Amino acid sequence: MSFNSDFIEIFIEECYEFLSDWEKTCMELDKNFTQKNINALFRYAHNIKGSSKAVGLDDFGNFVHKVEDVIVAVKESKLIFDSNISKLFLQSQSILQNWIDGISEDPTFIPENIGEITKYIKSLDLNVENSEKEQNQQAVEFTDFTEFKDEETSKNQNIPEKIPPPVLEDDKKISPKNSSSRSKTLRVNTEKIESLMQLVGELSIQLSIIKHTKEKHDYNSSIYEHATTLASKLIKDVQGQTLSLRMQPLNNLFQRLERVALDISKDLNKNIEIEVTGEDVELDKTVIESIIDPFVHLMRNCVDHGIESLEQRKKANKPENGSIKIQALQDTSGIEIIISDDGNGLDKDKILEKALKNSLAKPNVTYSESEIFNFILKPGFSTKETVTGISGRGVGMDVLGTALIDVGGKLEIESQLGKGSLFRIKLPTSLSIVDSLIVEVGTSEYAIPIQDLAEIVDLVELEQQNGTNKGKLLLRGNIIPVQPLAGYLPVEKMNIEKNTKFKSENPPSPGLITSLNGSLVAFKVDRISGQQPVVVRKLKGQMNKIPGISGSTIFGNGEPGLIVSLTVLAKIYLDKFSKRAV
Amino acid sequence: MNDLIKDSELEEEIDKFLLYRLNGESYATPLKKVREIVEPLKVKAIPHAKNYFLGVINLRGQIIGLIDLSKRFAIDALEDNPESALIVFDTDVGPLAAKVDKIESVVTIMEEEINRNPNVPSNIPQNYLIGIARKNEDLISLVDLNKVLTEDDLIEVQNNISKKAS
Repeated sequence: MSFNSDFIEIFIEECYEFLSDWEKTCMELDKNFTQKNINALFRYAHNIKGSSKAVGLDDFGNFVHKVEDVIVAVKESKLIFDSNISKLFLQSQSILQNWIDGISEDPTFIPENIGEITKYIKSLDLNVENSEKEQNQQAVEFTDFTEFKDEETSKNQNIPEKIPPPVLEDDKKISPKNSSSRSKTLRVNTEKIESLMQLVGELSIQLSIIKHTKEKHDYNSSIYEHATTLASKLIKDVQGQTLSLRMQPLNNLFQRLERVALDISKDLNKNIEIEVTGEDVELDKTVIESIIDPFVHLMRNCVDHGIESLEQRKKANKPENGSIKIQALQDTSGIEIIISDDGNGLDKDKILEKALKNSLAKPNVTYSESEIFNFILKPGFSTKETVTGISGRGVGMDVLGTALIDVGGKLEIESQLGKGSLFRIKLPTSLSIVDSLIVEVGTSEYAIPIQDLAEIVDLVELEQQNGTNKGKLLLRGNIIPVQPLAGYLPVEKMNIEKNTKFKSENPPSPGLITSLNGSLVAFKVDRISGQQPVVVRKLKGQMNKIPGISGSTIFGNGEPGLIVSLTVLAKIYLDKFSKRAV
Repeated sequence: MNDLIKDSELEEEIDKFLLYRLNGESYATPLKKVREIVEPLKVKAIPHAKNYFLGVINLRGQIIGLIDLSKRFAIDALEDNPESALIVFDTDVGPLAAKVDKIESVVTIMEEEINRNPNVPSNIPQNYLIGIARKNEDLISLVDLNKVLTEDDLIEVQNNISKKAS
């Protein structure tokens, strides 16, 4: 067989789009069956089938054709659309997605698990009524089918996990793959490209003016000045536009979360309604990719631990359908994603009890509500006694906490027992340029992202007001530990002359206060020299594992500089502190 | 036919070494992985680094790590040496630079000139030492710098703060 790789690439891109629409339509169908949606579904299947055959992927096309037959049967009311059919459509979508992932690496890839679905589809057409029974039967028959399939596909190395019928639990393991395998290409709105082209065109005009005046040595003319000003403005615009190319709307992430919630709720026999708002909000692609998995985890927790079982909901006088809301809001500092449910909420006492048992909390200490909720973000914490296979495997919410620190995000938890929980996640819109404070420590300058800062205080002034407190400060009634930032940075030879000069003037001593999960820590620096957006360069290899250093940049003078993450340093300090106290 | 290809490969890549000095001693490194040689650049120290890991430099907009070879091999470094230079390597995790006291030249060292199992004490860890070559009465230690740069621990993270990674 020969495949034209160029065409296949186009097909793959196209297919991802169709499959995403397919998934969306399926979820709508699941909520509310309409002829319009089933028609749309038919169209997607038909298009995928058509283009797959056009690029020579016959096996793929044949499989889609079989699913299409079922869609047609439903469309022509020959088959009743029930939860089984709904599940079938979603399962097929997962398989196709998986198949496409495989094809992108090897065009001859065939997933192992198509046999069972095809059999199931066959059974549907033969006898619509007995689909349930048939489903169990075919699971038995299926064994010899796999053996046969194995021989055929053994050439393909990375065959994904097989999906057992009828509960497609494993598709959750498969789905995270999509994010990584798709990251090579980026879909960009043509408008963005066009405006970028426009800017670059203008820029080259200004550059030719500059060149022309330079030849005439006419540096003082207003034309020259005008052109340079305009050019620097244009460069800024180009920079902004280029960065916006990486910005992606959140709808893919949200659709993914919706799907996860829907699948789990079916497995657990819970009824849920999901409301999604703000899916047009845009976020840097790298940020989205790094938060997908923790968000999926959070979603699972919501459905599994948050939403009660049907009986419990009835007992609590709640509507039968649990409600989950996914919202995104944008403000000047970044975006906020809120995931809330009307489930059972977090049990403060139970969490504290568990935290004490795991030595995460100290006895005889009164914790505030938010401090208690933050215990669930600590490694090794799980409130649910039984492990359900969906969530609560010990590697719990701390994954979310860690992922958020990595991208400079923050999480707030609000919850009322019996009423529900709300997770508010604040994220920066972009990782490539960060607005930073430039500080001096010793003889070196460091960049500190503004998003890490809660407040900046003058330690000298505070000392004068409240008396000297070694290692801590009193701010509006809160005692905040003060750490010299120099203690976390490389020791450099101090410029003594410079230091004494500063001392004699009694300069302000800036304290940068950062907040981590409700705890405040102040870091003392020598001087704040300015605020500017810095371009982030990731450190490579072993260097990106240095705790507290989130990246590097190049300062205005051409020297390399380090970007210091105060949140990570605060975590290091607090971890050390809590260990010592226990 | 096969031998022919092998021979030309040998000639082009395996025989050529970059010769440099650390405190007067001669060292050489296979030229194959060397990307470029640059003059010393302003270094920014980084926290938790081993003493021979000097920090990062700005190589035309790219931030890369720099190690001090003299310190790595526990050789007394020359103070304020105007001849010192940085050798930039391509490694699997991106370019890395090594500081040496002086760059000499590119030399061809034939296989028969290399003693692969020298029984002489050396301050270079055995696994990085390719061998010792004799060239014009000069003894040259052949060092696999690529290995030094990729396999060495550059960062020293104490247990109590490495929590984040786990």
